[in-house]
Amino acid sequence: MKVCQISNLYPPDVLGGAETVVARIAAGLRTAGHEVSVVSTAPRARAGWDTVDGVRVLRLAPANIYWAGEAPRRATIVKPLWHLLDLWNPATYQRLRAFLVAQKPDVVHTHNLGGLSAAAWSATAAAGVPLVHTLHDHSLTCIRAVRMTLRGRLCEQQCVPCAIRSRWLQHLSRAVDAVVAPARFVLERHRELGFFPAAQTAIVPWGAPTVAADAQPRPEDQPVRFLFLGSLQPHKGVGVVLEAFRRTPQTRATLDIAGAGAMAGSCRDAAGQDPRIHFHGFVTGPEKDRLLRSADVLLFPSLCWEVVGLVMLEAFAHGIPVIASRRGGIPEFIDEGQTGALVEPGDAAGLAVQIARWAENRGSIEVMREACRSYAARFTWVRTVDELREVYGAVGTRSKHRISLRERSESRRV
Amino acid sequence: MPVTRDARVAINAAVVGGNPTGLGIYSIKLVRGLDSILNDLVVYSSRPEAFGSIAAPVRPSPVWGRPDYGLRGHFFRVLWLQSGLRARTLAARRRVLLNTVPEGVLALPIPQVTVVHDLIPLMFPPDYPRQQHYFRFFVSRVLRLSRLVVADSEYTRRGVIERFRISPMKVRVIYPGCDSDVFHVDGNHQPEGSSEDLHFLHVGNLLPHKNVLRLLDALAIVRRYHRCRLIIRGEGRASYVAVVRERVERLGLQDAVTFIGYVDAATLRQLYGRATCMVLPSLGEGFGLPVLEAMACGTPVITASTCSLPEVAGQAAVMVDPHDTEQLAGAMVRVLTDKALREELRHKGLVQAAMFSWRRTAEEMSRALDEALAER
Repeated sequence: MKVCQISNLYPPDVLGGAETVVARIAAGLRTAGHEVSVVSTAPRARAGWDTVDGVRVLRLAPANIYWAGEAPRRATIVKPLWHLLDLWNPATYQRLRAFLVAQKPDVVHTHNLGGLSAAAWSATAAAGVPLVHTLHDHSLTCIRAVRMTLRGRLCEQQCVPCAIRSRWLQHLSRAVDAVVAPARFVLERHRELGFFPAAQTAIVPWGAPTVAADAQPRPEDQPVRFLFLGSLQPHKGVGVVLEAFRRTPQTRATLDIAGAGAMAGSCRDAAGQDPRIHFHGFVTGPEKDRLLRSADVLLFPSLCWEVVGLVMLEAFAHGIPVIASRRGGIPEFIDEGQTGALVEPGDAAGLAVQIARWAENRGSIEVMREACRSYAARFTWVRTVDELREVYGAVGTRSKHRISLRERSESRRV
Repeated sequence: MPVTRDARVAINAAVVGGNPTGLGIYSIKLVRGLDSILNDLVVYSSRPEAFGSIAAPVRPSPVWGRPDYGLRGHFFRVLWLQSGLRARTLAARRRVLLNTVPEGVLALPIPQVTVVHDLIPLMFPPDYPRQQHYFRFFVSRVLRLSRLVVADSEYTRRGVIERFRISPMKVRVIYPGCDSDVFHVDGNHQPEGSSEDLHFLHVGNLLPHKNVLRLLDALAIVRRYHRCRLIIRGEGRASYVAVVRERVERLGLQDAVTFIGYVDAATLRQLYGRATCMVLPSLGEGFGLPVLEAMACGTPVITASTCSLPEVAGQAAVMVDPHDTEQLAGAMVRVLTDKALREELRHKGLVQAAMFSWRRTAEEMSRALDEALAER
């Protein structure tokens, strides 16, 4: 089967998790014997064909005021214009349609499209190729992709610009034949807003991150080590963790905080005041591994609509149970009592109770370790790719009887 | 500075044993190389006949110190170094002692040059509980007492400097060679002729850091889509061999995996020549000789992107994260299915392997010996 993956970014350009997921899928499909090509974006100087780990990648330079990979470095003031141009990019449409007509893939699989714009869907439909889309985040329904205001308040209701943009994208999303998400929650939020009316749906979890080394046995008499690992933004709940520790001064436990972000300063202050708290700054590679190997419990009381919360899977793979908040896709990944516990989002008192309880009960943590590890072992990229192949197969056969987009809209008008 | 031909060198090659693998082969090749450069050389080994015909006298060291006797042999060998070897080098009026492995004489009035191959027991402490103290106290002392320390790779050099706190000035890299007389492209062999029998080859002692379990997991993934086999050469630690065999059964790979025991160099060359690809996904290596041997035979190589292996493989192998089973499987499928990639790897590999020779190793080593003598 010829599969074309379309993603706004592709390694070596990596801003978030989605790019890595696309690369994993491409590699897995290639392993399974499929012919894989990738369409991505690049600044004009790097545009063109490229090979990454044996996968052919076409990097387009869509006409917009800057490249998607530069977004974090760009001033907020120019971003609305970028998003306006990104509503439907005619250059993407033309280039992509020509590419797909020439290459004739059996299925097109789109991922994050910021920079390419949803014109990628239209181009695929116009080329008559079955289309699978993957939801990696909330970028279709929210301009900031996280459903949070700049102040960190959750957007249960969309704001006006997001609502208008999302209505337009919802209109274009009729071109999608199947939609795939790693968790139920993100899919439901989109279906509620009327996205993907014509599409089959499938929940396909991603593979868990690989573990570099087996966990070392933890010393019995050592206080329970809690770990917060992630970006230190208010909406990730690091403030709740600090508050919960402030409320349990008597508890014999330690807290390791690692990450970077706006709250790094208050984490450092807390570490200065409370000898139980250690602040490590941003960690990666072996340092991060060492933290995960020595930790006992991961705290992940995120306040936002997490899609997966990859750090939880990472913790599970290391045999670390997780205390997390009941929000977004998080509860789908926690088996309460077996692999962790859930608290209400933002509830520092509730988290403090859990911390105090777990700190005194090292025995039950040890019991959970094996359950965590075997749960993480279910998440393999081989399984992800197998399930995606099923989805491709289903849309592929359907497309033989497929009516073109135009016919479909005409029939609706009648 | 001209190479001092009459350096009066003693070489401690007591480690050469019955079936020489990595360390033994290194010692033999180095001695043979130095023999053609230096005039006044005396070699001490427990198996003198292993060196073939060389000009330098090879004096026997006690048989009970051979590595074949395991821990006991090791213990006696180290004892003999402190007594027998010390007395003999001094009696033979040697001016410098070259230790081909990090086992030396603790109190010696002449300078020593010591070769360190790897620090694997220190990198994987749970797998080598008994060697921890040996490395901490004995090896570190030998290295500190040596005038020069020679490491097999930049990776090992950094490890020596960091773990033993030895002055970086004292530690240098001399890469081992690759024996082009033994490992070369077989004239009769048609690399793409036998498409029926696609198989991977793993060469190495079966020890936990060789990462064979992940290799088997990866093979199981590859076998879902392609017919192929794996040949595992080497014996190893009995407990790990049992674990490996158990994993083979659990994955249902009994028909796909062939274990073969120790083979001599000529047979090994044939194994390389017939293999579609050599896979060495080790978690730790000091150098990684099988990579070069396979390349010299024109066999594509998949290896790990960590430790010393990138130094050995250069740009001529497919590199993977050795912890990442699926990436390894992906690389195996790529090599298996992409003939153009195999050809590319073959050509690059031959060029890469040609950059390493025992002659060059010996020349650099003789310069190192000179330096050790000059630094008074």
